[in-house]
Amino acid sequence: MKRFKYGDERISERDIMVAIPSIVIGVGILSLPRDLAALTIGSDGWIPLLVVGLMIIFVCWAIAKFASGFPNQTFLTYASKIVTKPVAIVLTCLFAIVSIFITSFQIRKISNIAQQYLFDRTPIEVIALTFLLVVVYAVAGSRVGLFRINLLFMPIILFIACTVIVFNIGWFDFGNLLPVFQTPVKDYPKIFTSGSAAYLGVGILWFYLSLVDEPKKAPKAAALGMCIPVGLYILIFIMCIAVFGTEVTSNLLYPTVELAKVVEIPGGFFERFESVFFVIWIMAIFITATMAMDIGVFALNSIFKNTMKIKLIFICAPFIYLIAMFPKDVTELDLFGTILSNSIIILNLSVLILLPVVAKIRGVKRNE
Amino acid sequence: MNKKYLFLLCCFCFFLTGCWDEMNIEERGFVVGVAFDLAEEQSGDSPMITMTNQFVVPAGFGTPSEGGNSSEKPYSNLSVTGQSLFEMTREMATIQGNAPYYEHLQSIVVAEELAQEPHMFENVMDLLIRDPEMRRETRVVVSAKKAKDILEIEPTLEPLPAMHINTVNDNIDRAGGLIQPLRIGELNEYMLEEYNYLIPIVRAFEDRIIFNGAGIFDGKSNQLVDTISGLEIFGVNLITGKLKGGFINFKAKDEKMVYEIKQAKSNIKIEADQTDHITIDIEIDTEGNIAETFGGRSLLDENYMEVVNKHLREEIKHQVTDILKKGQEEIGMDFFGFSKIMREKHYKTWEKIKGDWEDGKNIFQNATINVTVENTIRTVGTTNRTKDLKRSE
Amino acid sequence: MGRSLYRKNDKKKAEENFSLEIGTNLAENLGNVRKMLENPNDLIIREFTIGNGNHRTAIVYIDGLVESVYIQDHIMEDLKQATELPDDKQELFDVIQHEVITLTDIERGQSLDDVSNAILSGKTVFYLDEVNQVLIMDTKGGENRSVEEPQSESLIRGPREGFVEDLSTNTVLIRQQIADPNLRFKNYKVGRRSKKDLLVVYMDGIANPDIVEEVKRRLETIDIDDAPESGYIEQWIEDSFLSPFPQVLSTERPDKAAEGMLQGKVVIMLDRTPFVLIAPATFGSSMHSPEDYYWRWSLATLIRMLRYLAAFISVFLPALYIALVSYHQGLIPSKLAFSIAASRHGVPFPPFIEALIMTVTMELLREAGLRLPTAIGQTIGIVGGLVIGEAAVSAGIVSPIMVIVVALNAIASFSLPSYDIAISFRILQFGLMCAAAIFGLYGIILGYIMINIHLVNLTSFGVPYSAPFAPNFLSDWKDLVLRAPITMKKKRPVFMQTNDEKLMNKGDIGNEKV
Repeated sequence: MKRFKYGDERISERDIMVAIPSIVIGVGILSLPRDLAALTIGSDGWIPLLVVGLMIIFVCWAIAKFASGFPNQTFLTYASKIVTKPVAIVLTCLFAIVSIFITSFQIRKISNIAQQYLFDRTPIEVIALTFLLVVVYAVAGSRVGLFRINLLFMPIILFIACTVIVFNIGWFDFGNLLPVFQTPVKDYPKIFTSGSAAYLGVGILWFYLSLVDEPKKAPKAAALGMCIPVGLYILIFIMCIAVFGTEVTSNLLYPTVELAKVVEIPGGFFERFESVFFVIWIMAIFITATMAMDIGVFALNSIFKNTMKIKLIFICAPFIYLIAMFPKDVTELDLFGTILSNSIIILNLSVLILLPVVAKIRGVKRNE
Repeated sequence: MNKKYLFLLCCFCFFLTGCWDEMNIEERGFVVGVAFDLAEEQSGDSPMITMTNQFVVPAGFGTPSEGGNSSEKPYSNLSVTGQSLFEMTREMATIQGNAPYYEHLQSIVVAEELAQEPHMFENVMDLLIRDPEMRRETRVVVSAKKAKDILEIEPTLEPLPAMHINTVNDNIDRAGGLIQPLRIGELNEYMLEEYNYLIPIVRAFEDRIIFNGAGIFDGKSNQLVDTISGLEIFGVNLITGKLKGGFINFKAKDEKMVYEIKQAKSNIKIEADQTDHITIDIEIDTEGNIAETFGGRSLLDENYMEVVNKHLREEIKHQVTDILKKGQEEIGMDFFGFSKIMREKHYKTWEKIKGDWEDGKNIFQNATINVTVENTIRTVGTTNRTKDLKRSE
Repeated sequence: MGRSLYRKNDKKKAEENFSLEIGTNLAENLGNVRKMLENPNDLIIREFTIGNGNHRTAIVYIDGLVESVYIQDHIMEDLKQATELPDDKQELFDVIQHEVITLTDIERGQSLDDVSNAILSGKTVFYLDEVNQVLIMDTKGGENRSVEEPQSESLIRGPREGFVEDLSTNTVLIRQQIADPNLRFKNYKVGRRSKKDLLVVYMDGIANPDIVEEVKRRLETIDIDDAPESGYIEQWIEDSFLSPFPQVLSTERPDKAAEGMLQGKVVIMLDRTPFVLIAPATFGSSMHSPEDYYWRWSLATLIRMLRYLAAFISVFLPALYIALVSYHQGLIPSKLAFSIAASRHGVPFPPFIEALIMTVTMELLREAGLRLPTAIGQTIGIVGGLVIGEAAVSAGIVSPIMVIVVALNAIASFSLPSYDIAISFRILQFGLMCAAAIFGLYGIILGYIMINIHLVNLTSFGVPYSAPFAPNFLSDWKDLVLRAPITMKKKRPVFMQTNDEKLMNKGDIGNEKV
């Protein structure tokens, strides 16, 4: 006789597979083609996207592989075993802070774009506050609920992205993709950092893997999940270049949204598809922000075990809001984004190197 | 728990003060067409522009139950003169009563004399491209006379003159001597990449709009340099491969015939090994049928058809080389999109010779251009001949 | 329940002068019954003698609750014709119970509580002098509606029978649908005062025992005076009372109830109501109609998709109208935008108020139509639809487009198979209208996200309400938005975690689980 299992807060590896694209696909892709097109010639931007993508897929796999060695243990627990408790607490705190910053960044960014495409005079503060409230409502619910939200929203997000791509095929100008392989090799390191900015959020694996039922299957699922954003980014980038040309792409503020602007739905029920696209994309940004905030709360909760989750959420929310409102204008916001993405990469990579190496030296066994 | 609800309540109260952007549909001043002219009275150092907005007057459409026979005109044109467009739109808001709303803008008409002024055109277009209210599908045309006149015709089928321009465009496939009005998105691309481009010229003629020729715009200064006629556009379309259909008159052994082009393809190859002298090979491939003949010979005769085909080839080649020659020698500008191909296919060479393409060494003007034409005559219509020459003689 | 219900309070107890025990004196016993019920005029006490006048007996019942034919044929006749009765009273009592009376349902009662419960639920009580026990015989009768076509869920194709108020008839209807020995009926009494019968019905071996246990546990907590309708039960046992969504389905159709049980659900039947409850409910299942399975799959699939469209319209249409007309006019195709602008010319209210006026009017019309007799109800429909709609437009209070929007919205809402879910959607619709009025499309999408968050956090008896959308069970998608051919549906819904997964035994027998 089977036991009835819904009540426990466990997730399957499929949830991990969906969670990865959910957190990665966010505001990054909206402006990514501009950043890449500004630095590359022709359609060369796909190369850094692919290379960085492959690297990130590997990182995903490696984190999941390492973390799956400690089934049912939180990051804090196994990190304390490896690098003593104080260090582990510092690392957890860092992850929490970074996650909260991601949430702030997403919220601020979406408010800016929403103001540009949907509103005119509505203050950014209000747009951000409403969004934050919905995020708080989601995080206050069950953690499994978040994964279910991902499952519900991911198909819609991918569908709308595909619609934009398919309906733009009519404007596809192959000539715009040329010339290829003309970008000087010495430029690539800079392009790589700009390309990697869009692949944030792999850090969730450190934490969510403790909830997975069968952690052994998780590395593969995580890597597979990461393939979705990599593929999507390359497609959207190529589409932007083919439709607008490199020069225009590098001058549009949000090329992906402009790409949706070009779409004309036959029959013409919706005339301005970009608003529809952007409205749906809010869902993508929402799940990114929610997952990031949940990770922050999760990490803090593992340190302050006796504090209620809801209390942590209400303590975090004002901070998120204040951080989001801190940058004055778009330039500052972009700077904020760059610093954030770099620090995330550094943090994840250093933890990924630090933990296994110290574990090896100190001989901490992975109980598989 | 109670505190939580109190907090939520406060938040909702806060939102109730909202609705910053609410603006009911009937309060919007929908602008469907914009026309730009040089102001008649010029003063100050920078030229004055007259901007004419075509506002929709919804009441003029009438409700369906009233049969739509409203005596009111469905639009009203409003002109304002000034230097900054943004300033003018704000001024218009105070005159009109409701702010101009550009999300339904269909077409932009620019007067030829304004387009000829250096940098005027790009300044005017800047606001229209920048404003997020604008769509990328808005069409741009040049008016031979006053741009305002185009918005003042009263077309019979379409209630709004600005939309009429678009309806005419939709029938462009049938006539080869026309080019599609420029989408503002494309214009953005050309202006950024500094390619030369063509914008069709329209004229108002007794409540009708006539497309006639096109203006050639310099990609660097974005000003109108020269104009070409409809026949010449046909040649340009053949070269760029953008021909959607059209017809061509030619003579085969003294017999006038009309060839209807159903499909046309072009293939351009550029030899750029020598940077100071490049060779451009253009292959044009058309497919179509004989639509009209003024003679009585059998079109099923293979030998005769070959002759016909030869004459047709020559005619097409003639038209194409004419416009190429005009472009190279008279105007001295590349509006055929060769520079785009150069950039795409020969990026390194292009980076070197970019500055000498039309200026300096005049590489484009000195380029050798070879044209080859292929025709496929698919059918000759439903009947071979409609009259028998031998019998009538 | 050690305490008797008749001792309402101590004061009363002092005044009462009857014993709750059944004594050996017949007259005293009968007197006790009379005193307890304060001798109502429908209480029938018939005293007579049997065995040549040797033994004094009596039967007690309430007129109207019993089937008098039973009493006549099976009690009075049997007792009169009985000969050679033993003299010993206790022996006689046994003989009467076991040999004389031919009624099938017969048992003994020991106390006055038993007696009163029995006669109040339509049973007949038999007293024998000098015996401190009674016989309780089931002679339940009374007026009952016959089985008719269900009023609230009419179908074009499908059985024409619906549940009635009488529980035993309903039990029969279920039994007739499923003739399986594993069909389980578990009996409960609900209501301190009303003592209604309540049955929990499920398929043993299919339904997950945890769900059954959970249902039973919740039912046992019920402590109310009376449950006149199954709605009381539903509200007592549902998971979240704040949620607008129905977490228990109700139906009048035996076929729907049977279908639910075969999917591993639990059916709760209450006496004196034709509405039975099916638990647990999910979002997907509340969009199903039993007819979906009776039509061929292609038609059924189309209807299902239409229904999801209807759900979308009934939730979002007025909100979208408000958002498009007062915020995002650019999204409307140019010519339509101009004609909407023309039609709104002269309307004094902003779209939100306009929409609110019309939707509230619509709700009023619906409510009025329900309250009135059918014939007048239709008149209300005509008056409301034509006169108010038309007049409001010509008076310039609302625009014609708004009338179309509201009408479409109402039609979509009525086309949903379940009244419960249609009402939930209408509640959501008002919330979204407010959101759209404040933030336009941004508000709508945030509202949509919030609905989703609520849905994924909601459970019904432990089953996630959003299953099988999320958590995702792909094999259940065969019977969700689509309805795959019956022959392809090989499994019971996976999200119900049934004990017996297979619906068919053909094909992969090798993989069969125990």
